[in-house]
Amino acid sequence: MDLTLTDEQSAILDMVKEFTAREVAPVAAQLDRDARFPKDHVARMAELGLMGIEVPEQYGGSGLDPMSYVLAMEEVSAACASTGVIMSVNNSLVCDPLVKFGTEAQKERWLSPLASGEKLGCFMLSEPEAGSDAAAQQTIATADGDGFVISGTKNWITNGPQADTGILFTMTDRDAGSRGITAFVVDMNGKGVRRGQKDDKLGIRASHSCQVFFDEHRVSADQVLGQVGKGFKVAMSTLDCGRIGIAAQALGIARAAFTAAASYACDRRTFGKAIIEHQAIAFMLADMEVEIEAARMLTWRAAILKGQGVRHTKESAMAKLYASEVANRVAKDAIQVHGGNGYVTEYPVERHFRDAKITEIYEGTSEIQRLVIANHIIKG
Amino acid sequence: MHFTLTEDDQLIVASVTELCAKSMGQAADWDDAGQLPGSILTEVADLGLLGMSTPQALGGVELSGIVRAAVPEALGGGDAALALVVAGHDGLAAAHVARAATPAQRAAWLGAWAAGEPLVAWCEPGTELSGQMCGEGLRVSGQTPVTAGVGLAGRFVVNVPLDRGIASALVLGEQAGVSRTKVDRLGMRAAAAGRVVFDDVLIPLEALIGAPGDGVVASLMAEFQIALGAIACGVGRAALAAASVYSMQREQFGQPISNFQAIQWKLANAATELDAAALLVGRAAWMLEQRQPFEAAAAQAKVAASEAAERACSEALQIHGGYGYTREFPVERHLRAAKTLSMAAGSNRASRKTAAAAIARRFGGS
Ligand SMILES: Cc1cc2nc3c(=O)[nH]c(=O)nc-3n(C[C@H](O)[C@H](O)[C@H](O)COP(=O)(O)OP(=O)(O)OC[C@H]3O[C@@H](n4cnc5c(N)ncnc54)[C@H](O)[C@@H]3O)c2cc1C
Repeated sequence: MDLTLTDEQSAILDMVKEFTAREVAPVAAQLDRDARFPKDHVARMAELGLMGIEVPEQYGGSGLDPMSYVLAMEEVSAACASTGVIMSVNNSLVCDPLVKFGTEAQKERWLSPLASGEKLGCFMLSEPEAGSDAAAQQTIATADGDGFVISGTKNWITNGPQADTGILFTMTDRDAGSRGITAFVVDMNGKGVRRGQKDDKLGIRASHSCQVFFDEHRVSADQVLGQVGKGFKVAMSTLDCGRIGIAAQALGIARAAFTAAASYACDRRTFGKAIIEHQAIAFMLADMEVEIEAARMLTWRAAILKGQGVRHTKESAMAKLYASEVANRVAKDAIQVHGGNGYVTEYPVERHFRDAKITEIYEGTSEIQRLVIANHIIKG
Repeated sequence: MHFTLTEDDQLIVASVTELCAKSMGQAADWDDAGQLPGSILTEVADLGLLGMSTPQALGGVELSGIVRAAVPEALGGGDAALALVVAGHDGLAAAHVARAATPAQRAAWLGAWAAGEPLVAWCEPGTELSGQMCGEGLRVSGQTPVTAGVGLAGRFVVNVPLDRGIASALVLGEQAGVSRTKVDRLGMRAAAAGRVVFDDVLIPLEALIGAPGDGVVASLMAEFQIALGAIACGVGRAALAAASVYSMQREQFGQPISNFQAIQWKLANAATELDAAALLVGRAAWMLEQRQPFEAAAAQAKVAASEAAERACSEALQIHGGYGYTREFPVERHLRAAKTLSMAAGSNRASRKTAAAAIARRFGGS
């Protein structure tokens, strides 16, 4: 056991703290209110190397380890969870699979502009009829000449309205079930790609998602990511890593809600004393902190295992499950600590409460995480 | 950064796990008898577990704080009562002497203690004990709080609140005026908990440890929270393991009950919460080792671990159905142990107070 950060990790943490304190936190509430995509932040994150943190420098990334990514994600999400998920999708769900499964040519063509932040990516797995059961893909890619023709609809695609590049999952062999799924890297501005209205959401309102429609969109064979028929593996392995990012996002939301509640509890007075001196409030805060620290340990453990190249499917699921549920409990209790002030938009905790909810849903609901964990326990 | 033990430390933990598998099949009988057998105490002494806090020069094995937090978990998976008694002897009594006693006292006591001769129980300061310093030593009347190992120990370290702080002393079990009472507890019954009773006893000067108000007692108790958290993780994980195995064997409706999501959910929740708690225990141990302020982290670890263990044991019992309620299966014993841990050494209420006070200081409250 050693929890010392390396100099490099400390340096990136300091840099991100400064960036978020100065530029992100002050406008997060307004971005949420306007449901406005934080274009300026994304550009700044590109400059700071935050859009391809773990991508090797030769492909335009920062060449850092998963711990650095997790530290940065927590900070950005504590300031603005919408900005957090924009960053997380680009890093974990788009750059990561390109690093892991991309050919040299794909890395040069697609990865470098994404990692440097010149372009923005999205990840298109979910469909109207394929959410938790991601293998039930209806989008079809039909072999045609030296390429494929793709038709189908993707649902709730984060960064969809802005993305230049997408990782797309399709069926290439309907009869083969999950072994008939193939992943592609696609140009979102290509012919036959259309985006729907942006979704109107409970939280993470400054991050935009939408449906994406493919209507005989033509791709060449060199856009297959990994191998034909091996797309489900690409998806699952990508989500193993992505879940660490969402755990860190949840951790950031939880920390922000806790910090707001603890500060408020020290200031607000009732019955002649600060409310933190009422044990019911003090213990609520103590429990929040216990759970946040525990969530952080689970998240860091998963990141460290990823960095060591050890399989971490179960540990990622545990981190994501626990951190997302902690974020929801903490945000809910943070509103309680604030009383009526917690319910109004003048204080940040109602936003944290709305933002927290999504972390229990995307990249596998809590139920799916429990299935993954239980399967590991039972099947060993 | 990493979350693993060194290779040497892993070997130590593996040897403890092996001891649990080999020698603790009878733990349920010990629990019934309300007494650990002498043979198991000899076995843990042979492994060095009674001298983990004792310097090598004085006959101990002197382990790092990190592995000293891993051993109670492994031991707790075999028998929580044994783990608790070992932690009291090594982590409280021997550590107290190693830290605060004179060189002569250390030399006289610690070597024998590392061999378990005798076993020592360490009694928290309590309000039912009063003492007065006089020329010949410390005069004590009253009784200690309920303490694990009192029924097994030959010596006690007692902590007596005085006006100028806590006076600590070594007391011989056979000394005139010293007696012990047995307290039948819900869980960890083999730890033979009880009180030490003093009928106007004069403890001689050479038996006093450290100086009143030296603060050692408070830091030992804060550190002990880490050990209690570790034991709780061991108990919870033992219950989880039993429940996992049982759920794959037990068939209902023509299939193993592990096929049912209602069962899978319990397993997944328990595993996640116990991993989280174990990591908090490791974090607190690491902070202590780094000489960082660790008290709040230790309190957090104890709360998280004992409550995760209680929930895990309770669900493990549920997974066993009616069988879980019987003494034929180990889970009811684990549940009783977990419940006792959340009450032990200051209830979780006290631990939460410590954790909350740290928050109030950090965010500018009183
Ligand atoms: C804001 C937002 C952004 C998103 N971004 C993306 C994105 O960028 N890319 C992308 O591909 N997807 C994205 N998604 C989709 C998201 O991953 C899915 O919503 C999620 O996987 C759940 O699928 P579903 O909504 O179809 O729910 P369903 O699968 O229909 O599930 C409904 C309920 O049933 C439960 N359930 C389902 N199966 C089981 C089972 N076997 N056992 C027990 N319970 C079960 C679920 O847990 C849930 O509670 C996003 C969603 C949202 C809301």
